[in-house]
Amino acid sequence: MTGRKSIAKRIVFIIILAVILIYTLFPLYWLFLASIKTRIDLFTIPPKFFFKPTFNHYKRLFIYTTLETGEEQQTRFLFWLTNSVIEAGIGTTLAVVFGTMAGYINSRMEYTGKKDFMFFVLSTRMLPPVAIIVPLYIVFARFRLADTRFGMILLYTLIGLGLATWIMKGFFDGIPTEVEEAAFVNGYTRFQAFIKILVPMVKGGIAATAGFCFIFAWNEFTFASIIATRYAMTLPPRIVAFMGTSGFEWGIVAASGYILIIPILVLFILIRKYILMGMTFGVLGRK
Amino acid sequence: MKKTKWLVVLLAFLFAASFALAGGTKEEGAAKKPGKEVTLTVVWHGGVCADMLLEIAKDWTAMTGVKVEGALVGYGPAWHDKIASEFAAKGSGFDLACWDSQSIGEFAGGGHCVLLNPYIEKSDKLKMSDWSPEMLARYGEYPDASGKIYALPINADAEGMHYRKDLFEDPKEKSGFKAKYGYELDIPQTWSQLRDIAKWFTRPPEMYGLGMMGGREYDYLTSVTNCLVWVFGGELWNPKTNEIKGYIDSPASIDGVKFYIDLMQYCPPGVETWGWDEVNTAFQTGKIAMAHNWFYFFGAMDDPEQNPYADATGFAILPGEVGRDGLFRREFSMGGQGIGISKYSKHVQEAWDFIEWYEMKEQQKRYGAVCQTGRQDVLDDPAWLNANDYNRLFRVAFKYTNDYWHLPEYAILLDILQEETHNAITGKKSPEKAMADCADRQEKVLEKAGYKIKRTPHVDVPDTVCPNPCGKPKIIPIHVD
Repeated sequence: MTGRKSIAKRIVFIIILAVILIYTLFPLYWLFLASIKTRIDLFTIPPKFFFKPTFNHYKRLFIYTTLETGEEQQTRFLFWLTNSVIEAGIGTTLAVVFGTMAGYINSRMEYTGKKDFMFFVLSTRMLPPVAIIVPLYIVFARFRLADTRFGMILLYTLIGLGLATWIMKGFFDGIPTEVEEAAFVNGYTRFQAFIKILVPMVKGGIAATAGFCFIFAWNEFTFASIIATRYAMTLPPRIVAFMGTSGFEWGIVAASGYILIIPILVLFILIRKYILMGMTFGVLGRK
Repeated sequence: MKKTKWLVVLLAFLFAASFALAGGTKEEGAAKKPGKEVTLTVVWHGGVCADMLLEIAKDWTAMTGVKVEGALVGYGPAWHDKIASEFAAKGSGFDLACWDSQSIGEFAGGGHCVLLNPYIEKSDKLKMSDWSPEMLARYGEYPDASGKIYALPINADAEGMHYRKDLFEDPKEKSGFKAKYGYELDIPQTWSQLRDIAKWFTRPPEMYGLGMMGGREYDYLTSVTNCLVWVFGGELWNPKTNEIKGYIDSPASIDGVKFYIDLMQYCPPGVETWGWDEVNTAFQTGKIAMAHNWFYFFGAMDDPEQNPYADATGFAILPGEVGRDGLFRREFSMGGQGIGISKYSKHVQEAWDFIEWYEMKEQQKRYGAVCQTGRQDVLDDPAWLNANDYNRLFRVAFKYTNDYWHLPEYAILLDILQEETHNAITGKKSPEKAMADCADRQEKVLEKAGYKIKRTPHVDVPDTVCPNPCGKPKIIPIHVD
């Protein structure tokens, strides 16, 4: 009887798991199908699961065929991809470095206006980008930061900083002060105690925070579409500009979307065990 | 201690890298400083017209050394916002911009664009008569009828229709249609005929009679409903008195909106969310017999690689309608863009030199192979006219186009019109209430912006750009051979 129950439980578990798996992976599967279908196959109803695949969309991401002569030229896809890597990568790193420091300070120190400061940090995430984009752009243009990689890095650092500060504060709050006090007794300065003792203890949190900041910066559309014009242009706003004679080039959009997903996928695989910790500000998932 | 040093080194590296990358990556993949080299940046939405412009521009670079680079964005609000925010910041992020015809009031009226009249007057390559007066007026003139030109046509466009010739010419369909409606199944000359044909071909779920835009986003819905408002004798406003009440909410305008709602039953489900992309897709997948669409997309519909029904696709000019005043009107929305120079550009002269060269007949003939040019001598050129089945139609269609308000407040007025018309077609409000609310809200916008609204004792709906044979007491068919 117990054996049957356990088999039934196992079957139910497998079914639930399969449903979750399909729910999670189907969009990725569909995106891939879209990237290898022609426009006609893509929009045929009922949807086609068996069709003649085309990898032309992937080719067209990198090769542009001129309209007049049919000559093949390289596109700027790699340039936009490089911009995305540099701007999101450095912006995330700086946000995490400063956010970890700020999280520690706000976890351990008391100072006048601390609550106001923390609220201010949080408030930077409250307004939707579209509400602040024009004034922000004016500021960036005045300081000659518009359409520069440095400007975009600065922007992603500032945006990520608020999130990083709050998440890392949660992690440091979870470490007893006795740990540092023991380090002080052993002759460590506060900075040394922070670097040598506390940072290794919250490395899971740092990884999770980096993951969240990177995902935001990597996918960010609104700021990049206005602040970047040519030199600092990233992939997300550029993808929507793929338009052919029939309208949006959904096949190319899907192909570039697939390429855009790969770094996020790799990052998530690397930091998957820290994600829950990060989402609960260090309360859950700690080992 | 060692780790502390490493942290300091890492931070220093990151800062140094940020600064280095910021300063040194103005050109793709290399640390180039332009120096005396001039690069003109053109903002436009991505697409074949922009691709063609940039291809042709390479010859200009070869001749002059001046580079022309595209800063291409997605179609729709992002494109408008990109230009508007750069102008708001008075930034020199781009030199040339291609904007929708209706944005001329906002950008030129805001003082952001270079007045082109002095340049055209001095030019030995271009003259005002290179374009028809309506072409110049629609894409570049602000204020209306002022003669001040801030942009030249870069992609002329108008609404038209394409249909399934194989269905229209099928003897069984023809006889069945005639038996039911009492007249021949042919290209509709009135919207009522178009409705009959749409009804005839509506055989859900395989086939629907009509595809048209209806989305809330950007100008999708109202670029179609405006056609109906105009042909029924309605108007968006009275530009002479700034009145909106009594115009967009007039019985004639409401007739137009109601007719659109009536047509929706012959469209595939979800048409209230459609933009041109969905219209194209529905036609390419054989779901619809007729499509109300921009000429911009006619090339794709004529291409067997993109449209499996290309060989069976016919093109036509949109119909007109007899309004409640008994007059027949044929009017439809214009599309397309003009190209203007940013007042904040550091290379105004170079930008003009490029436009001057690009708008010459030689370049426009090349451009016209892919996109709709605005130059009259190209539009009249037999080679261009006979290049395909729809160029001849376009030349005629453009004469019947009308546009939104050419006002700096255009973007706000458009959003209100889109919202309220969408409320009407989705049943959130009655057409009467939606249009009354629209008029009320839009007038408040004008009043807030400082416009004086002069109330006229009698509501006289003017046909602002209605050409002959618009507003005639009988239906005048158009046949373009």
